[in-house]
Amino acid sequence: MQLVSRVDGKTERLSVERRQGKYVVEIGGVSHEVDTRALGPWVLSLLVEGESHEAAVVRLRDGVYSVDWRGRSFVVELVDPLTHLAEVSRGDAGKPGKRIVKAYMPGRVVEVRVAAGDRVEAGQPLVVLEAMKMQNEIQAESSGVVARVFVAAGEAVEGGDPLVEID
Amino acid sequence: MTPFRKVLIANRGEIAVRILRALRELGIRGAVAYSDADRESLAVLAADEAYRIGPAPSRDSYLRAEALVDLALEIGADAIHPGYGFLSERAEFSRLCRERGVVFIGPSPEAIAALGDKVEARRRMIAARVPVVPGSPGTLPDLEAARAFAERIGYPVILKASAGGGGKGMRVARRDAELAEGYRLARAEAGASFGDDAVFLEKYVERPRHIEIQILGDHHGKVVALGERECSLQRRHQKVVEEAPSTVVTPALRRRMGEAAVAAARAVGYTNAGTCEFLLDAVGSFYFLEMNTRLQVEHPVTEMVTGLDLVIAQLEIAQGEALGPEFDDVELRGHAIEVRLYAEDPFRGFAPSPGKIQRLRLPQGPGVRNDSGVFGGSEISIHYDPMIGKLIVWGRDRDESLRRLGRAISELRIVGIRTNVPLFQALLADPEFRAARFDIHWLDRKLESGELRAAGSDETPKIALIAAAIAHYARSQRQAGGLPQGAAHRGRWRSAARQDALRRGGGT
Repeated sequence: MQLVSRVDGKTERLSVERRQGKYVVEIGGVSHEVDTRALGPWVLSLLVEGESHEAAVVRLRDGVYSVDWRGRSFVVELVDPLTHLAEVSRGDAGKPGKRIVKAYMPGRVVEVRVAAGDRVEAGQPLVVLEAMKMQNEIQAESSGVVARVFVAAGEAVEGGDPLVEID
Repeated sequence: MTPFRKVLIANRGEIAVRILRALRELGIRGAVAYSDADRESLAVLAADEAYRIGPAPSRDSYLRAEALVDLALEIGADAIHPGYGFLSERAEFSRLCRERGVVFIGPSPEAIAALGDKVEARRRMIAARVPVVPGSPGTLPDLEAARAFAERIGYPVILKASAGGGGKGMRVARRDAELAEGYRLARAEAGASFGDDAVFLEKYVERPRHIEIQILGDHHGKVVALGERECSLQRRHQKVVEEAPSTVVTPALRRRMGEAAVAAARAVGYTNAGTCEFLLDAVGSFYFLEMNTRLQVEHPVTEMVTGLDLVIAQLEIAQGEALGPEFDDVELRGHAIEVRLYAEDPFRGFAPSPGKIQRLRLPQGPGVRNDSGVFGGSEISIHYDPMIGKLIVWGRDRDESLRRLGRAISELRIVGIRTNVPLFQALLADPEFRAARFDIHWLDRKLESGELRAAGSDETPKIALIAAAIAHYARSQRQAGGLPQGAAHRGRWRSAARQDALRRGGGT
């Protein structure tokens, strides 16, 4: 199976196949033989040429996986090369376009730091949300221009409610 | 003196479990009050008895003082342990317990009230000759008064709005030339922010460390100090890593700080466990900050280096027992470090990451202690502090305990929620942290400058790609004949997607 991985806009060509009970994964032209055991629904034990690794893999939706490895989480998107090519030619692969920043949990909006038309950089605070007795800055995940602000200070929001749209 | 037969814990999470452990060792029945959000918690599983106290929000459950005392009386509990947070430092709760005939495991309402009022506490500490940050006794009538006072206590000084808070109306002056400007700006800002331009002046302690002394006081007039904890590693005033002992506290300084802490406790007739917090400057001068009138989150590091059990000591004191000779001149052995594990994502501004812990494997082995309130399958609720638990390590010296911390963190597996573990990995790789060269602002500075954030956060390791690719391949094989690959891949990842998937219980 040929795949293209996309992580934070960076792409890599991969191939996976099963050979004599093992997986052979090729990344960037280098081939790895991997002995794999699923330990329950979440955890994989991987022996990569003798190196022992434990990874927890959670499928978020079709082709999108969260991988926990050595205390860190990575979101890996896997698409077949043709889909990837089609998306690249349309110019929207790995590029965010319009995105709606949502409340990750129920809480109260303490402060809105941006207005429609503002230019924002990735990491810039957009909204301060109070939840779990703590104030948290909701930051822009990518740069762009604020298209719309859905909330005002003092409002209560539910998890998943849209806060800001960035174009 | 009558030994307790049953104790009610008015708290939740890891501290409820910690207190239950002490009760079990003493053969005392442990009861917990739980909210609806905690029916399936480790505390309920570990308790001898558990009673519903109300719905999830704290004000309807863990903050219901009257209901908790009613419950204690109803179930025949002799005492209430308040843990930390919630009602633990409320004088009126301590008073209510006393009035209703239930022992409050903590200090008297009078001691809590005296220490809870900043002005009153400062007055009492000055009277007891406990060093406090030198400051002007009241507001300053004019610049000349400010100058005279600054010269008396020495530069640098800080001008603060009398009505202030939140950093507004605060100005540091490092020498006489900066004072006039600072005074003018502080007054203007104070007037604009608070409608009151009165300012006062304090000695500015530069790059201080936060050093705190654990004390215990019994009901027979004995108060002891049990050495210090180094708690300078804080993110926005929240402690993140705590150690005992501190690398900068010499035996002579430890003795002086211990004496000051004991004097502070005596000044208010303090009983049970408490913590005297000090600022320590670069030349070994220390200043009283406040006294925490409860068991601290970070109490285990003191336990690890003293060999004492502070919760058992609290229970014995509350039962009326006298502190024995084992509490005299306690020597500190080795070095302990605690890290607070939080369900928060250090790569997204430390946003809370509630959800279900799908799998949990806590580290084990030599010198490792886990005080946690969760198990695999536990829910980290949105209603409370997102602390998962505390990982504590002990070594013969700081180097050994750092090595053990690194090893223990490599064994830790928490799957299903984001945690602050990457922060500890970054800290362990930082030469200044390893050399214990920090102050209370160090971590915020490091995080702001991006130095810690950057540690290993850019590159996606090969293993993550391999694991995802294998999971994807295996799934597509299982589903052969299902959706063609790539048909539904046009969505883009957003943080919410992960949370949604977890809430729905989505699996591989």
